[in-house]
Amino acid sequence: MMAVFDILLVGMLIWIAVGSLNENRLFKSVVMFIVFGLFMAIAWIRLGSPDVALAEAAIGAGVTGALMLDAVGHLRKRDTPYPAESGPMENADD
Amino acid sequence: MTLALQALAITILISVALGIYRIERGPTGTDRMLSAMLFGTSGVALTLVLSELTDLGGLRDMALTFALLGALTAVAFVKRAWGADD
Repeated sequence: MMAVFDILLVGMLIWIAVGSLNENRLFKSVVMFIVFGLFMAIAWIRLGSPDVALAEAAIGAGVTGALMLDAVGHLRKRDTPYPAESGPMENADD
Repeated sequence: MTLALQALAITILISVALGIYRIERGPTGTDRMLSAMLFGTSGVALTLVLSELTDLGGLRDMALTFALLGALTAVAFVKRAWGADD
């Protein structure tokens, strides 16, 4: 019964990873990355290492997700879409 | 009892798979972010079920971390990235 769970979990991990990388809308990639962190934490639980799972959930899903959402918001404020054609110092004040 | 818990874990995983379809499809960024919030809640449930299945009591701390960081991600989205990718 848990073999079914494991196969489903691995399949969804691969699905999320491909969906996160093979996507040119930045926000969707970031959301997929956050979800990938959550699922990787559950995969670490299944592998029998709850401390690694705790670190993965805290760093991979939480802090990195918040930082990347912040970065998407900053990129959104620019006039030109990413990758910016203009110089890097244009909106450096915010 | 163990079989019921295993069936519950698989059911939660399938419900999350339906949510991933929502991330793939969802027209606005808010839909995608709400789906990720659902995964935070499902992650708490899944972690607690796995904690009962594997007799690892420390996993409950991890469920607390999931709950806390889900709220943190929601705040980061609302404050910084609302309206992106619409």
